[in-house]
Amino acid sequence: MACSVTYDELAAYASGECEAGRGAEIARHLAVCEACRGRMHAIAAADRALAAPPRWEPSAGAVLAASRAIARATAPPAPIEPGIMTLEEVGRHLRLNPEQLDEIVETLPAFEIAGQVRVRRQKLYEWIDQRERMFRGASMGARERDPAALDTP
Amino acid sequence: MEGLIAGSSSKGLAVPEPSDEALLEMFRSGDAAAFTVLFERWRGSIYNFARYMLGEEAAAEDVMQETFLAVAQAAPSYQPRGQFRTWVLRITRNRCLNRIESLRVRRQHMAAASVEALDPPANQAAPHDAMQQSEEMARVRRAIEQLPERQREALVLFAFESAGYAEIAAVLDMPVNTVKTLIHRARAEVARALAGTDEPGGALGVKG
Repeated sequence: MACSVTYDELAAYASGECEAGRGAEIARHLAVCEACRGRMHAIAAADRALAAPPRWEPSAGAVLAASRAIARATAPPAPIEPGIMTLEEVGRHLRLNPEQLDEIVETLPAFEIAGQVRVRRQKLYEWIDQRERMFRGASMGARERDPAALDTP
Repeated sequence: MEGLIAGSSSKGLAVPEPSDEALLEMFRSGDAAAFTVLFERWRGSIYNFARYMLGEEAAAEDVMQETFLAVAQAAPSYQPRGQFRTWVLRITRNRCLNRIESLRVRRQHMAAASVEALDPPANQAAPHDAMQQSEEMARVRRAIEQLPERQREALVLFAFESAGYAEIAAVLDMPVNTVKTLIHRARAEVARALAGTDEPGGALGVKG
C-alpha cells in the first residue's frame, strides 16, 4: 500500500512548510489514510522530544583543561623590561635606599650620557655575578684556597 | 511558558550581558577576560555539536579546546560578517569534518593492511559524559546519533541551537533548501526511530 505522501513530506507538513497546493493534497490524504495519521502522531512526538533534546555536557576536567589552554594562549604579553636603567631603577631593582645606593654607585658598571648616569641591565647582572663570586670567596674565609672564585686581581 | 522561565535572569537586576560580538571586540582590544566569558557561554554548545558529530567524548573535548584556541588566534584579523555563533560553529564543524576524514583515511589504510583486526569504535554511551540518562532521553539521543552525518549536523543545530534555516545553511555551507530538506528528513527519521522501538502499532504497522 504505497502512500502518495512521503514521511519527509509529512514532517514538512507538520511544521507548516509545504507549498499551499501540496498541503491541501496532504490534508485530503490524511483524512483517508490511517497509517499517515499515525505517522503524523509520531512526528509530533519526535518534535516534542527534539524541543528539549538530550544535550551532551563536557566533563569538568575537559573544561578545566580547555580553560587553562585558553588562558595561556590569551595571556597579555609580559611587559618589556628596558635594557637601559636609570640609577633610581637600579636602586629599586637592588632594593637599596638612596643612601645605600650612593655607597656602591662608583662600583656600578655605569656610563654617562647627556649628563645622566645609566646602567645596562645586562652589565648590572654581570656585576652582580661578580659580587656573588666575591661573597662566596670571602665567606669561605681563605681567598688563597679558592682563587678561581675571584675575577678581580 | 517554559521559555519565559528559562529566559528570565536569575539576577535581580536586569543588567544586559554584553553581546558575543561586543565581547569579541573587547577581546580584540586586549581584554582577555572577555574571551573567558565567550568560552563559558559557548563551550556547552560547541561540545554538544562536536560530540554528536564525532560520537566520541575525547575527540569532542579536543575539538572544543581547538575551536576556542583557533578563535582566539584568528580574532585579531577576523572581519565580522555575521553572528559570532555562526563563525564558531563553522570552525567547530570544519574541525570535526577534518577528524572524520582523517579517521576514514586511516581506517582504509588499516583495512588494507589487516582485514579483521580493527572495528570502528562502537558509539555507545560514554559513562564520563555528564548527561542525564533517562530512558526517554537515551532513546532520543540514539535516534539522533543514528542519523546520517548531514542530517545529524543539521538537526543538532536546529534542535539544540534553535538556529534558523539561514544560519544552519551558513554553518554547513549548503543552500537553504538543502537544509530544509535535511531537517524534514531528519525529523521524519527520528519519528520513525522513536515510534519503531517504543510505540508498536502507534505509527506504522497498524494494519497488517
